[in-house]
Amino acid sequence: MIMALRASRRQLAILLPALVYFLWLGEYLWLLHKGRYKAYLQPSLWPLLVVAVLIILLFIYSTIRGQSRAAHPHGVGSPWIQIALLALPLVFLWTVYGKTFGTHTLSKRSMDLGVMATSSMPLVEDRRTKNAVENGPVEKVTLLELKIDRREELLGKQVLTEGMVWSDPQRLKDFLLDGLPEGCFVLFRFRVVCCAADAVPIGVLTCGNEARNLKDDEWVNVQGQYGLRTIGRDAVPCIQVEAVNSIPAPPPSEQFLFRQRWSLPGPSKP
Amino acid sequence: MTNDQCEMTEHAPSQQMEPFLRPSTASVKSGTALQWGFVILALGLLIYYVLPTAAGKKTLADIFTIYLSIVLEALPFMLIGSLAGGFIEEFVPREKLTHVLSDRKVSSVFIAAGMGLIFPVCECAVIPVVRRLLKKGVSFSAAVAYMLAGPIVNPIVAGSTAVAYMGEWQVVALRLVSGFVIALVVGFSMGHLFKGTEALKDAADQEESCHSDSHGCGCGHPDHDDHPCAEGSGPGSKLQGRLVSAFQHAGDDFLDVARFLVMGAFFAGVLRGLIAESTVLGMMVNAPFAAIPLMMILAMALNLCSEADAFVAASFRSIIPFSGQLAFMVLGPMLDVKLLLMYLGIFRHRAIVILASMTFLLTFLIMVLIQTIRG
Repeated sequence: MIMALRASRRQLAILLPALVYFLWLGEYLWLLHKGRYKAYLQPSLWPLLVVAVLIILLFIYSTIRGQSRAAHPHGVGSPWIQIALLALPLVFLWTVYGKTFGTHTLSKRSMDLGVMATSSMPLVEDRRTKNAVENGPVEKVTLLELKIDRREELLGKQVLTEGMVWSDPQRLKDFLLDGLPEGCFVLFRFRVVCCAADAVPIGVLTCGNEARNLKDDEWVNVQGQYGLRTIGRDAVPCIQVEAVNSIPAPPPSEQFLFRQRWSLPGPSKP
Repeated sequence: MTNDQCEMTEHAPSQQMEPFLRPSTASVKSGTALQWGFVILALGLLIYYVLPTAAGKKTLADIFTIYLSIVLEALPFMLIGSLAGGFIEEFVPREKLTHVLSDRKVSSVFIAAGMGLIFPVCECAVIPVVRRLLKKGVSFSAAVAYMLAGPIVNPIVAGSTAVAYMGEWQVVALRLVSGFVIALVVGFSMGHLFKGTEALKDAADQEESCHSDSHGCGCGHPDHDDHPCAEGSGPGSKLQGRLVSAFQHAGDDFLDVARFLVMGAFFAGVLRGLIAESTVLGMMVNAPFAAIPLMMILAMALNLCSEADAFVAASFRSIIPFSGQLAFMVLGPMLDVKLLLMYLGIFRHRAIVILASMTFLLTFLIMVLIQTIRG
């Protein structure tokens, strides 16, 4: 009887690795469908996920065809615990998919608002004057272009961009040495290079009467002139708001901004 | 352990009766760690569901998101690494491998430390490959050197560092050379401190199972006649059988190491989700001399991929001295919380402590030297 029980347990243990492989196969296929993986990973990593799916299929084939080490109890720990541990990330995914980073995350991350000493302003002011197109066409840009890739080129231009609102004046003092002016907030998003673990917030100061009464974490699009604003002894890149509209939060796979891993920031036009 | 030695213990009565009831001490310790890992992860989930405050839930959701992103990105690399290990096991003759990377040759450690230039691997993929190389007879020194240098001294990491630092090749060169030197020194030292397989966790498992593992592939499969890795028997003599065998070895390696990744990534997520960067950076502003060790600790806590860490390091350019940024980029791929737990899949605890201490100390000293030279 005991021998029979042991034999059946052993037979069951043979199938456990296959079960884990099937679960992970399902997870990667689900993430690849509709680009859901972009809630966690850089879009250019999709071939890696496809390779993972193919290898898992090979492992399933070999596990079903032959015997796996997990079937042999001389392995480390109970095979049930091993398999349960490997399956747990799936429960985590099911629990938190769709819950993305927000203002609460900012307290753990550093954000560069581009604050500069006013002594460096004349050069930038010249650039702004050259670029100024008061009634020119509105250019739709991402915060990544605005703050990093095309930061000088866009100074003085009309821009339309979107992101989340952060308007806690107390915390913002950490970033703006002489305090936050009335009617201003920070429009921010997270930039990712490889995965969400390296997410860094990118924010731009946004000011204007239309900027009042917005809630933290609210998604908005902002239209206005991008320029420099003097706050105390500092000059801060800022959007002077002409219109702010609440927009629905994008799906989790579209909330991050991704920097192409091999791309250098574009050259600034003189 | 050789097959001859195995035969000496083959007829031990207790092992013949219940071999699977006699796990090694190392196995028991790892099994306990595994159970604790499961309990901690499950507890994390439970706390999320019972936590009454929205703020607490959001923080936990951030931790889980970071955790998942690390696991989702690292697992494919680990699958690829496991597959490579499986093919090495099945198709690369032991003699050829040990000829190039044998114990007796000093050059083998140099070759291993530079192998990432030809076989680029990230820190997650390298673990199953190294595990299999060790089982295949590669010297401990060479394996450690490859494990530490592979994720740094490779063209992909060189490229991403160059991009992050806007083409400053001096940064790239310093990063690669530092990684290479540290891997060499640690590799040689570990080989000197640990003889044979005494640093390896699986040594005990192999001792216990080798009486039935006489085909010598170190896979632990007792059913020699059926197992395809038994030379000249069954499907083992055909290409298809050897491919299946390679996949089986790869699958075994994957299952053995992936659970340490699952645990390690969780601790990484906790640290990344709870430690405020501003706290660490603030400490450096008040004590600039502390930038190197603090950035090293930050690298260990953040557990970033070696492809991405240069971008994070570069974002500290205006705040942190160069040596601190370099320390962040050099130590991270060799030693972080996730890797420490993954090392449990290969090494004994004592070996991990010595490996980690030596790597940390050496990185610190080299960074101090670079800081002194550059001023």
